[in-house]
Amino acid sequence: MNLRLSIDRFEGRKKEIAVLLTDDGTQINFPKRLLPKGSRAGDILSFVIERDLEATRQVAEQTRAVQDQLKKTDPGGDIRL
Amino acid sequence: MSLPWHFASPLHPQQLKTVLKPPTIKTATIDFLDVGQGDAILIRSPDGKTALIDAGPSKEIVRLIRERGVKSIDLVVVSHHHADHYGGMDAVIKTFRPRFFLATDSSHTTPHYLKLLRLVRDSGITAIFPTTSPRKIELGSVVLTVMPQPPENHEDENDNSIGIRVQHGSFSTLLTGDSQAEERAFWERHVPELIQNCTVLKLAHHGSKNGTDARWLSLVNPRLALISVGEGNEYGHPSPQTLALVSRMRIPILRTDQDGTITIRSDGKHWESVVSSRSARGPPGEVHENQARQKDRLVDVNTASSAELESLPGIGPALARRIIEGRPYRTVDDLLRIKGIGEGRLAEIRRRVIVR
Repeated sequence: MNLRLSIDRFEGRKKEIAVLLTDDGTQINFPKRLLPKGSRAGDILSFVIERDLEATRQVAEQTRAVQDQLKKTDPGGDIRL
Repeated sequence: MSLPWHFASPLHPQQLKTVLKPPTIKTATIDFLDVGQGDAILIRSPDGKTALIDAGPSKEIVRLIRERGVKSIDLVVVSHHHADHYGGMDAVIKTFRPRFFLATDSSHTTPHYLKLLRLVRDSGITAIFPTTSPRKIELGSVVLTVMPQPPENHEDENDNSIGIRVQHGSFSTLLTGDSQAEERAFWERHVPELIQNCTVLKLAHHGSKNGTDARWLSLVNPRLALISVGEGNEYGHPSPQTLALVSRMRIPILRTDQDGTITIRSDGKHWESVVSSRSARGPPGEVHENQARQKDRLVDVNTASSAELESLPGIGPALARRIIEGRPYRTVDDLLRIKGIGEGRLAEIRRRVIVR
């Protein structure tokens, strides 16, 4: 999905929040630091949004692996600190 | 100023938010930290043991913990894998080096959560997981009972929240993360004894509609309900229906968005709540007595004088007279039948009034 957004303005104490607008006027607060360098109010941005199923699977597998490692440290039963 | 403490059971609290000097006897302390939109609950036992249940959305939590003079933490808990509950946990772990880490093995994950788990592993912290039966964690005289974990809910991570009953003598607090109806029903069926008659209840899921219902409130039967919620959050927390329900059941409410960090202290027999309101926040330990006392006095609409009623926002002599003429009231919502009191005005005074 390709989403067209425009930079409406910058807000926040240090103008760190970019307020982006969809074509139908929906406002989205977005960290300025994640925008392409040099982005200015009035710019049109093109957002490509896709589900990354391979990355999702990898993160799930890696999480399960770390959880399994952590389970081995569980002494079991009640705990007295 | 020293006022009588509330008995942990079953007396009704005479005064909701009291302002006391630090007690001379050793007490357990539970701070519901004002972390904005999220949860973070710091538990300190009289024996010097410390646990942190959730770490709010950001590393700002570290400052809040340090302000309380805490130098180390024994146990950290992630109630469930949502970032408003663990966002500050990596900073907490790096700063306070906990010995134990408690979380579920729910499969809900993100690269951010995976990074936290790797930090726990690489820091050599001992992990603890909830099991299918209750599990006790002793912080000296304060005992955390981890409720049995229901089978994983793959649709909604909120229903994978860890439930904990905190017990100190006859005082207790119930913390159930963002649990919703399905998980609560599981606990009701399997461990009703862990739910019943808790002195203080944190309303689950930031006071949302799905975090509380009348049946749950009746079972827990709390003397005080707490909501950990961010001021002006975009999610509609807490829900007006939940606030109305708790009010109808005559349970006093404290909220971190309005009251700032909320501290509960108990010696195991009595308890008190202390708030440092956001507008009157001072150095740690300092409580602005006059503001708190004036703000916190609850007005009983069935017995208050005209002058007391006029101390409420938006209530003048004429409305005070109508309120007195309209007695008795069964619930605070009954005030809506008074000409001149609509939903808006009632919302303004709701937290200041009570029906006894």
